Amino acid sequence: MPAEATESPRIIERSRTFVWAIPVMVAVGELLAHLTMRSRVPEPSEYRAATHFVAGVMRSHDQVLASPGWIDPLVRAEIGTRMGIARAGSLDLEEWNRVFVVSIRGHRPPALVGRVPQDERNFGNVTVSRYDLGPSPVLYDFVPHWTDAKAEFFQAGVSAPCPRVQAPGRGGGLGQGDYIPSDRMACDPGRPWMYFAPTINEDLDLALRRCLFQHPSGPEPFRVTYENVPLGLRLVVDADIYYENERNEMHGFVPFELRVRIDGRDVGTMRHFDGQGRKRMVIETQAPGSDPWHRGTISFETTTSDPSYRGVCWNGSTRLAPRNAGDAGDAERPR
Amino acid sequence: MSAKETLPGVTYRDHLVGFALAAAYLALLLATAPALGMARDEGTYVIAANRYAEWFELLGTDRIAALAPPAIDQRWEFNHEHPGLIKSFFSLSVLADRKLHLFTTPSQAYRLPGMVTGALLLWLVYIFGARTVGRQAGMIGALALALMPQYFYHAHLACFDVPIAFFLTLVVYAYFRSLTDARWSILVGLTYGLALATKHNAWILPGVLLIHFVWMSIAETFRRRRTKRSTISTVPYWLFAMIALGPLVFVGTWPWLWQNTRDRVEEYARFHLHHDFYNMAYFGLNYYRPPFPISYPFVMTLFTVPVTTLVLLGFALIARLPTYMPWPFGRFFRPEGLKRRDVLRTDVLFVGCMLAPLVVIALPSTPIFGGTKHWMPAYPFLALYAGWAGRRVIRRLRAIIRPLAPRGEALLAPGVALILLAPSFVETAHSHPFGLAHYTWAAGFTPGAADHGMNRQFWGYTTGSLGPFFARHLPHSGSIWICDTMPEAFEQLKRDHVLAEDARIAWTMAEADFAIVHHEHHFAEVDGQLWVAFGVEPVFVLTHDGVPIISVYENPTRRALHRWGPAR
Repeated sequence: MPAEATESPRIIERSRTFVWAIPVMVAVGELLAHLTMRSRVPEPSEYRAATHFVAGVMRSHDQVLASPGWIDPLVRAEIGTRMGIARAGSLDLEEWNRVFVVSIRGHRPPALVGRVPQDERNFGNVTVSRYDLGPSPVLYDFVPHWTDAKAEFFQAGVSAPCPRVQAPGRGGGLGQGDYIPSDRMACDPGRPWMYFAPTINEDLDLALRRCLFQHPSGPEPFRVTYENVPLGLRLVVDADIYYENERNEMHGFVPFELRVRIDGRDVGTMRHFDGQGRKRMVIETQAPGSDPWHRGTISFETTTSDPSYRGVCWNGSTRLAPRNAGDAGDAERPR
Repeated sequence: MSAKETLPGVTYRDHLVGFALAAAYLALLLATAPALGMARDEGTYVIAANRYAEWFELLGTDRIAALAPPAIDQRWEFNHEHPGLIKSFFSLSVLADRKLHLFTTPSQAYRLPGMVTGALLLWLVYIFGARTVGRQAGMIGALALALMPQYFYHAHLACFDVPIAFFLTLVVYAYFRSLTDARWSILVGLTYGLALATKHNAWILPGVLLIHFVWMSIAETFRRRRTKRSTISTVPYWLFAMIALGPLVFVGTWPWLWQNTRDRVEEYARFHLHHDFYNMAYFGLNYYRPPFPISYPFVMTLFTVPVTTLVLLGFALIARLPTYMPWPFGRFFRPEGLKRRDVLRTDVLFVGCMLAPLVVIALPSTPIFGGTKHWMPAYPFLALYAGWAGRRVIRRLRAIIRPLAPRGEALLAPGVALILLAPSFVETAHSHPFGLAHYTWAAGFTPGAADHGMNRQFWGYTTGSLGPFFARHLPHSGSIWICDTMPEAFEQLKRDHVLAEDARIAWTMAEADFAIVHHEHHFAEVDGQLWVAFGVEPVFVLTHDGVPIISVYENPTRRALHRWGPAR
């Protein structure tokens, strides 16, 4: 690989010499950039100060988000218990009055880009921003009220109850899907996957969502009924199955149905096929102008032609009219 | 001018320098290895090495029994998806350690052969560089390779990725020498056999060498017509040696192939030609099946090799463009103006060896789960170009410095080399023991890579970094749900005293005292499972540059029990 420069005019030669100084400048720049990066890494004490400030002022309808999403474990490590699984597993900002964003390096959750925070404080390299979204339109969230529901499944047209049990939690591990919580309404000892309880589902976009597990037993319905629910003006339901079962087409695209009835009347059915991911259904519960606090009985039925790998997990709530257009965007999820 | 005249002489002093470099690097690897817990695949190779060690012991005591097919299959059947050579070295190293007590931790015995090849590769790069681009360039190149964070990480491991980079470079070196001295062809065949016996990356090398040889031979044919002189042979003796000796060494070093050879070779080939697809995050997407992004190996190289090294590579590739461009294109690109033609077309060889591993991984059907390790054989040549450009920077700056500070000229070369290599040194030192999680300036470093949604780790290699945490918090006979850690790797952490001897693996989350989540995109489900099982608050988050690597959760039920029990 012999290569030496031949004689060239002096100016060209000199400019070439300076061009060859660029790598030295890059090296100095790389060193400085490395030191700058390290100086911007927040100390644990900065996270502690920021998150404990949030914990001190946080109210029951306030959400806490981490931005970028990958610092979420660091935020939960400080105030996870205070946040609880309801906040950690919520993907919908409409459920919250205010949002506290714990952020670093100028990040903002995508759902809040363009908004101006009402308050912002710095704790070293960690920033806490408060966004006042206004009163949440959610009237009744089915997930925290799951113990108020009655779960039953049907065999040859006959209803069988799913009693509430306290049993060891089950599952865990890559590819294992939703964890079976210890507190659940278990339908059939021979089919441990047939239960109704809140758990966390990993949706097709790998987002973690708190939802109610209601695995269909087959063509006959697995029904959950909530009574005396304020109907609001809308019913918003998100549903999906465990992402690997959907992603890997482990079941040949057999869809599941999630049927909603209000006071015995069919008001909407979601038909979900593999590959659709988290799917939203919005149902008008009452005519515009009705009393949103009017109460009724709402039931959710899951069915499928073949129940293999159809672990339906849904979350939903009755709501007033949307707060603002575009408010229902997803919050940024941890990675 | 003969081809030999183009090559600077390499003397025993160069080999002393190369040896010193290798010895120093090996010492550094041994000194830093205890901080690096065993990775998932290492655990598999430890099991294999232990079985091979049994066989070698049997061979030493009862040769006839050892060579009986059942005895061979019993010990060599396990992990036959990879050839036996390097695992044999692991096992021999372990046997030596059992007799001589050479190492402070058992895992070092398994890892020594890999470290030795990592160190030898620096020696080889220096010698290859000294012979082709000059001693100064060879030294800068060797150091640039040594100080790539991911090379430094992989050079520690009881795996095959650095060994195959060494053996492939050795084959290329032998091939290069064979172009002017046919006797080296024998070594081409033998070293190629060793490469085949190391890892399947070796399969593509003959194609790369053949392309170079054809390119060089065509040019030589035209040259002979003009000059009526012959400088190099256009008979591929090296290829004959590869065909004749390579398979012999491959089969000879792998007892599993000594029976049903054809079927087993086919089975081995099939495994890699139809390899499973695993998850790999890239720009926020979790890839798990083809088509994989073509840009992957190039972007990952950009994001993980120190930027200064890549800038030097870029300068070298631009400056040397005419030497590897096909005629007549090379005539239009002569920024540095070459004094003479290189009849060996060394640049074609180097560029080919550098690009081929990347191009193979870039094919949309090739799995990408192994990250940079799968194209690590490209890096010695990348480093050689960086070395060449480094030497050119020194020479050019000398022209500036000489009139300004004549007395400072002596310090110029080491000074400039120091500046050029300083970022690599700082980043590599800082990356340890998170080599796989570490990204360089182009990615915005590790936090920037997390922003981009790049992979943070695989193999569960970071579990060892939780040693200090568990030393303080794991109760006596406490159990851990180990996520992506392989059970054998966990046991090795205990043998290495990273974890307490009575630490246990919990096979279900519910029975664990602690559970860990290795933060990778597809492991989010484990995080969610633990939220339900234990709550959403991790008791500890292991980070690198502020980026979460592992979250540790404590079982609240067990915590209540242990509150009244013995504390560690």
